[in-house]
Amino acid sequence: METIDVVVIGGGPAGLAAAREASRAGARTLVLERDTLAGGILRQCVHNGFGLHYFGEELTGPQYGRRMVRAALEAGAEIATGAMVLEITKDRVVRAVQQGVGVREIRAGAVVLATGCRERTRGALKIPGTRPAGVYTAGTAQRLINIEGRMPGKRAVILGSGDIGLIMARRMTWEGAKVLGVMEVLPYPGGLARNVQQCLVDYDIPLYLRHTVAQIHGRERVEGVTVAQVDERYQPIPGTEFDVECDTLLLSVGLIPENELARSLGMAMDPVTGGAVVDENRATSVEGVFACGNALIVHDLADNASVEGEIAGRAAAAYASGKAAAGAVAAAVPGKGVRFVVPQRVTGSQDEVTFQMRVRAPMGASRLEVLCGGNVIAKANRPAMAPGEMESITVQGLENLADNIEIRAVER
Amino acid sequence: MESVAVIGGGVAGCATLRALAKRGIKGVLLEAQSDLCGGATRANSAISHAGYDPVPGTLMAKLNVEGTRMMPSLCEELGIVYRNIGAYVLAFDEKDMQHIRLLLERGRQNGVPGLEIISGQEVRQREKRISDQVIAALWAPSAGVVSPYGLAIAMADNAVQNGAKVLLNFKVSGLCRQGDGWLITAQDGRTVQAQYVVNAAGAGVAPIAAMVGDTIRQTYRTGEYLLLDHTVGDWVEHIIFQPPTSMGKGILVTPTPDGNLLLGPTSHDVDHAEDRPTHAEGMQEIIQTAQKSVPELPLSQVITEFAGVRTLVKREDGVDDFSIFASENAPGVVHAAGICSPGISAAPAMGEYIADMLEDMGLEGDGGAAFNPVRPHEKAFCDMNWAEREQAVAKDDAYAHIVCRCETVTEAEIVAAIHAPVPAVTLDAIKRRTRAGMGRCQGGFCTPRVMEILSRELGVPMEQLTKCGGNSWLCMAREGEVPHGNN
Repeated sequence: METIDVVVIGGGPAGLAAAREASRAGARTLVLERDTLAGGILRQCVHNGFGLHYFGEELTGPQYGRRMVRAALEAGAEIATGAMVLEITKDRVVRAVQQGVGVREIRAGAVVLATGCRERTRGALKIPGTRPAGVYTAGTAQRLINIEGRMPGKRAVILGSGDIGLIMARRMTWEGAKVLGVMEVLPYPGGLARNVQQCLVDYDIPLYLRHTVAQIHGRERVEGVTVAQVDERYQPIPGTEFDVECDTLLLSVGLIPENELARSLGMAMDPVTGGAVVDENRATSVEGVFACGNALIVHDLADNASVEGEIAGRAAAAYASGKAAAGAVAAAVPGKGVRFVVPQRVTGSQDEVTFQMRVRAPMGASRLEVLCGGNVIAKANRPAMAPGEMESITVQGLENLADNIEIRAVER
Repeated sequence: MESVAVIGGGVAGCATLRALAKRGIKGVLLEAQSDLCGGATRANSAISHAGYDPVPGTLMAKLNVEGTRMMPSLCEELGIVYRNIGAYVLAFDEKDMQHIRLLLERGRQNGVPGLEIISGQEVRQREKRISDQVIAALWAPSAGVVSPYGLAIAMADNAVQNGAKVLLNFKVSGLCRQGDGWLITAQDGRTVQAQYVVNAAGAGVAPIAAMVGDTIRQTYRTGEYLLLDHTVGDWVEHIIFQPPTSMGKGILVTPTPDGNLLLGPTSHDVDHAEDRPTHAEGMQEIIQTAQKSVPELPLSQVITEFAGVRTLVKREDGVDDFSIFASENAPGVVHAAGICSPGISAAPAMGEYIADMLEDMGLEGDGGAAFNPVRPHEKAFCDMNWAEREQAVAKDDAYAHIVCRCETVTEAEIVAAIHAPVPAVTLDAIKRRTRAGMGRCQGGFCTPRVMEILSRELGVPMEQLTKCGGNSWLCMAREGEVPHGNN
């Protein structure tokens, strides 16, 4: 059995940042990446818009990924590609298979879960109809085009206005396909405002708010879809249906943190985020196991996943070097207007903690308030907030918390 | 000239092909689609029924009980999963009680072993999530679950290993008498000559029977299902039925042989077997009815929905039955019609029954002394322990490449399926043999990777690959640009 200080599972923007920071802190660090190259989903995101926050310049996904790989390697981390982790035990024995190497059994001082997320499927949504070829999640279609060099189809309807759906509407158009429309059940778009402008408006691609795909048609290949308006419960309204002839349906209907390894450890999970319950060091409820990136909470930007990876990487290195993890003293919970708060626990071991959250519904001029024992201990004004954009607020002086923290969003 | 041509690669046809091989008769199976099991065998409840449902005296009753008795040892020989988990038929009121008493009586007449009626309290002790509205249940210990397509494909593979042949994409367009045999023509012009013909074409039985002047009246019934992830595969431990209705065996809740949880089917008459769409109402009906048996269902774990179509034939007295008979017009032609539920359960016995019929008609084999009933197969990587995994990876590095993360399927297993006795050449065929794409992400991760492997192994570009043959293309080339590799 090999022994390694910090094992990072997943070599995307979060895992690579974690590995770099763990290595810089002096830990012997190994990244296990299942794909043949490190970089994660960044590799297939050939569009720009990455790195504005993290690197202070605009990069494409592959450029961002390569920088992260180089930084991790320069810091001294080892990156194993073609390596799929199949099992972790409570005492942190990691078992993986690696192409060209074989079975690897590693005793880890600390483990960082940076396993990313997966896309919600047609089946999870229960879209009725036949089951032809040509129904793809947006990310799979993106891989087909940008990595395999193939087009998923010529005439596409996109269900869901999440960022990947918006990016793919533009990508398909650039590649000569006709995107007939983007359907969104909510009364507002799911993705970033800049993507709605740059990917749909600039290309005259119609966005149908409060609409869904009510039925898929086609025996062998998609031949069309029935689109309908939805009511308050997101159910199709009879009489509003119209058919769209197409050969492809792309789904961008949500991302789900990939946490099968976490669940196998019996880790405490947050039912709202789908990720682990963590403290401000990104320590989970399982001793010596940390989580970050989209496996913990689905971020808007790769940049934010990297920032979170840094926190987890530093904490994992400290734990592996024998520094005991601090116990949580308080909980951080969502209040009025807020869906979730991460981290969900506070130990008071950091001078300041940045909480991340999403609001429940779009708001105009508004304010985030952090309460402790009924007192507002921090607040920040926002010109507007929307569920599609992650909010954050940094709070100082949490060393001696006597009470739980609640974060709420209020109109101004 | 072939001795026997079997038309149709569903469970009935595959069982017949293997039963013939057992007697030393090397048949040829003609399948219209790009893979076996594209019809009723693909989408059903995956159950080996105990046999208390069919009316005593029917062929259905006889073959069901006999088939289920044969199932454990057959699955052992073929190396496929069979879980003898037993079934309950729940009763909620006095009317249901009368029904399960009738089933108990039928079952005893049909020779079903071990049937008993137990109290509601006892059911809840044995199956903790059952509704407290249940007052009693019929317990059928001989029922089990088996993968329907897994069974059919394994029987066909084993027959091929023993000298049988399988021709895919063979859409029969003509069946004519020629000499003392039959000339079978495919749409693409291929021909096969055979002395005997078994028409086991599922929903296609009637049109093929019509080619020799036989009329078969068949109707169709569709059933929709919900499949849940294997995270909740042990939500119930047994097959949970409600009292059957005139439309079928009712909506069930059951573990699948592969460890998922299955809910369904609905049961609605349809006028053809071509499309199999699911409906929002169907999903609602399944959920509401299943919750009567198991009030708490983990519906957040639903990973897919599907629908199947059963083809039914009624006896003259109006009773549903399998209709397996030698044509009076066409010498040497046997029709196997109306193979609806419990077709999977009955299949092992049905194959023997049809082979017996052909022998009675004069078909002769060499006795099958050389027949090897054991299908060589590798254990699935996901079922291996770590010592076995180490050995597998040391032997073939393709075992170290996990292609489907949800079901832990390796490249080695996908390559093996592509080069199996009955080759898997489509995405769906790979899925049925290896489970790649059957998990919670429904192929989101593995689809491009499986396409790469198929393309490489078959030596065809990705744009020629299909999901399930015909026009089910998966991708097209990018215009004006040479496709590039990894960036």
